[in-house]
Amino acid sequence: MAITIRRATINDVQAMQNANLHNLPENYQLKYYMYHILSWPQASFVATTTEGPKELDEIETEAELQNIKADPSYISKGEKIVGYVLGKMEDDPEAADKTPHGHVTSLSVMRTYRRQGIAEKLMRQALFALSETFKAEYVSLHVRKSNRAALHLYRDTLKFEVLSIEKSYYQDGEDAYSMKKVLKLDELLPSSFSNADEVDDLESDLLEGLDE
Amino acid sequence: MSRRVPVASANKEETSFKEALKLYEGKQYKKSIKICEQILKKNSNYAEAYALKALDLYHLKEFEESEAYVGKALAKNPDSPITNHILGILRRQQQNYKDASKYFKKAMASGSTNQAIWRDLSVMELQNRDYKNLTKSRHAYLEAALGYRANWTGLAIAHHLNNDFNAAEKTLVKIEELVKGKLSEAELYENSELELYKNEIIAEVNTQSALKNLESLNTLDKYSELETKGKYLLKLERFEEAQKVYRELLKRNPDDYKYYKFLEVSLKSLNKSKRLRVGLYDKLAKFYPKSDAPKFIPLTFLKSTDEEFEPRLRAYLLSQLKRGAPATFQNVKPLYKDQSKVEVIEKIVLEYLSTLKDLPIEYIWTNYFLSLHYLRQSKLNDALKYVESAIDHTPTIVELYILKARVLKHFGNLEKACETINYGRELDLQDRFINSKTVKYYLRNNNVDRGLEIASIFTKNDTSTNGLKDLHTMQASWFVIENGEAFYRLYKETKDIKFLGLALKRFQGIVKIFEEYYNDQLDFHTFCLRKGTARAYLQMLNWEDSIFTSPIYQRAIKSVSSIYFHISDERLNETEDVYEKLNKKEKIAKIKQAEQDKVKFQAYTDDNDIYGDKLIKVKSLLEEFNGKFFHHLINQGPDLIFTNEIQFQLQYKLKKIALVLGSLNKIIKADEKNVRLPYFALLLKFSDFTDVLSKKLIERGLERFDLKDLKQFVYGYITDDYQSILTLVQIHNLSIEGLQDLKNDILERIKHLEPYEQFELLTLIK
Repeated sequence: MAITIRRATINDVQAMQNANLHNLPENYQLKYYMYHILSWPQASFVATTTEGPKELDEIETEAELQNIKADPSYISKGEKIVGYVLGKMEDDPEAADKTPHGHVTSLSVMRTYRRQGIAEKLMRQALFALSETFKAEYVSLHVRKSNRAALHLYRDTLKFEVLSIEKSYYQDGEDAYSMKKVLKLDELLPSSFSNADEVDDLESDLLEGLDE
Repeated sequence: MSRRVPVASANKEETSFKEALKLYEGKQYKKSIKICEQILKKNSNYAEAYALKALDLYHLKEFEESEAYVGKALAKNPDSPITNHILGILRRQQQNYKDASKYFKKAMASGSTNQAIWRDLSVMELQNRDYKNLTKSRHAYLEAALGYRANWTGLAIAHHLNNDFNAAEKTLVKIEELVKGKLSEAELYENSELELYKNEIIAEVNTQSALKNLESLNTLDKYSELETKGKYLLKLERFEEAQKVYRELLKRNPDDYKYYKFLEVSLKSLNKSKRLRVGLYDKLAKFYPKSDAPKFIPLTFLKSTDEEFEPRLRAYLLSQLKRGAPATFQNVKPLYKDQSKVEVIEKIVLEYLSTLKDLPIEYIWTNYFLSLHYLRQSKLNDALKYVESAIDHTPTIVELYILKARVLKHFGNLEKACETINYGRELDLQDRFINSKTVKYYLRNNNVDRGLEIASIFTKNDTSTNGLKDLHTMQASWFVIENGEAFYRLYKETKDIKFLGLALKRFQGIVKIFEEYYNDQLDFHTFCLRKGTARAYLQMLNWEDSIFTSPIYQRAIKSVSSIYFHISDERLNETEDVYEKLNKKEKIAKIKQAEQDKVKFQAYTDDNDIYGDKLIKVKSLLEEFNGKFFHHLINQGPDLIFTNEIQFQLQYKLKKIALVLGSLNKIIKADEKNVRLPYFALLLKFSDFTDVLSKKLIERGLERFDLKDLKQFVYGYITDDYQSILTLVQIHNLSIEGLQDLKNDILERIKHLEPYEQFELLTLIK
């Protein structure tokens, strides 16, 4: 376990900013993260480590609560942000296309937590939320031309299409792929990508047939 | 107060004044001033023109002159609504929100008809957490513009913040009724958010009604609906319905750990047999085969001696090692609380390694895992051995060098650690993660220049020689604090006071970043009302209310306090000439060098104190510490152990015994076994306060401690961790009779620590 994927809240923004500063050259001031969380509270997600299961009656003492590692990636004891996706709706009044559509501002996963599908899971949640909550008809994003891992994720795994190459999109002069995916809510339920043989019907008794 | 001016002329002046206002709004401050001056030439009693000139001057950075005009405006007519409005804007601009609030309030009280001031006032009241007055201004503003839903939301929030849930709900219901059937497509999201917000308010009073209300809703935010429903149902002990809700949530997100926990609570399976629980998770794993939680959770509640434990753990570990996931170790780390499980892990992974001769990926990541496994147990030689095996096998994988550097750091060999990680960095110059890690190592090794140089590869440097300004602008607190700590260590090493100033300057950088974080909320007080995101907004207020208690802020304060206490003890700020010991030639060279280095150390544009001299050369150091650094923590975290540890030391130096004892009590209240307590108690007991009152207070404050046998008293708090030994060192340094032989025990205990910790403690022993 250790990794939980969940909706981002305002309590996560400092650690998200920290992850971004560690991983990517495109950085933002905290206010921009706040702007995302306070405009579209449902559209951003984080991946965090967890301390492991705690029994419900295990209330932390104040001394323990204060024992958070003084590292900006931690949001509470044992809970460290190792990845995030920052999602939004297009809100530029000048934007050419007036159909409601989403945009992925930034996504990153700490290098030492890669190869376990975290980025895909974060994206699946964001796509689902943009479609369900904000009625986004499609979502767009940009990828550095040199970022092959990201291109693979968006094009091959998540089925984005490459719309065009934008010359010198990034400040350092690198080109970007401009990508887009049309969203259909009934095709986006995150667990439907689990390749499961069985589906929970929500009705049957989960404990039935299990040995005491 | 009446101004005897001819009506016609007054009208002309008013027209001119309006023009001046317009110019101000168009940021043409100089032109605006010109017109103000023309008005004043004709009518030197025109208070508003003084006020506007003050505002214009402020924008032109003529701060002193601006204040002079504030004074003139108030002297001419302190009751002018327009003057008060303008001065409110000026104070807001200066981020002096308390005074801004005062002037806005006065403007309305003096009869201003500009209703927008109510809105401005309410924003100031929120910023100042003055909720009591907020309701009034929000109410007034709503009355002035009933047609905007945002204004109703604003009033509801004001009631909510005053814990008047009833009034908040009523306000929201009223506007719901008004907009019913008239919502446009674009307003649906706002409406959905506000329905959920209203539900949250209902729940403050009654869970049952909140559930009923929730079930009548069909909002756009299904996650919130379901999570809230699950919470209510559990609270009402309607477990059968609750379990269904958590199963629905798992379908949406099978990777959120808490849903599994709540599912088990609803199923009442937590105290059933382990067999049953394992069966449950096997079922869930079939539904969600790509999710980690159903596979991992059984490993946490099974005992290492349970038959099922080992095969399950093996399957779990091996599937990840085969995939080459670097974080496999992180994933099983929660199991390391149980030593018997650690042994099983070791056995499985070592066995697996011995079968891996021809499987390169598996071989590398299994060695990597073992290195972390031994590092966690402080078996540094083994940790090094395994990471080196991985490197010998494939010397081109970046992660291996990150790990090897970490092991070397634990050995205390920072020099070698830097070399190692830098080698890794050069394998992938495109990757900022390894770049940041490398920077951190160079800073830890006090190689500030090299650290900054490497960091600057990824920053926006524009016209600067390095990325220091960008790192500050982008609020890279991890860098700023490491940089400050490196400067502080450099001071300790070289005794060059320049480094103390630079360290303080960086720590002040942390304060500045957090002040920015706090001020960032300003625009959202109105923005969120328009969006309808009241729930997120209220969370934001809460978050801001403890932003200065963030661990990184505390970490900065820890160093800053130590620096200020040191400067104050040694009276370093009183030395006129920091280089007095040097001869003239050396001195000139030093000063010249410092002048040249300015560009290298400059963290902000327009900084007239690059070296932080002004932070040191102050009359009252302890006041400087309190006023510029510590007060935020006192305000937001007055009961934290950390705050009171610092407060204790600060007030001790200020000889304010009542406050010293107050903080001691707070520490005891939070944690009566706190490891620092024996040090504080003994410091007080053997202090040299001579006045009767202090002595009496101390005596009474120490009554609770049994100080008959000092040694026994001290060791009642001590375990064998780093903090305990640090306390022993501090007590040893007090040279107390009856406790002189602590040193041998310290040296004995230190042996169990890691080399780098040993080194840190040894340098502290007097």
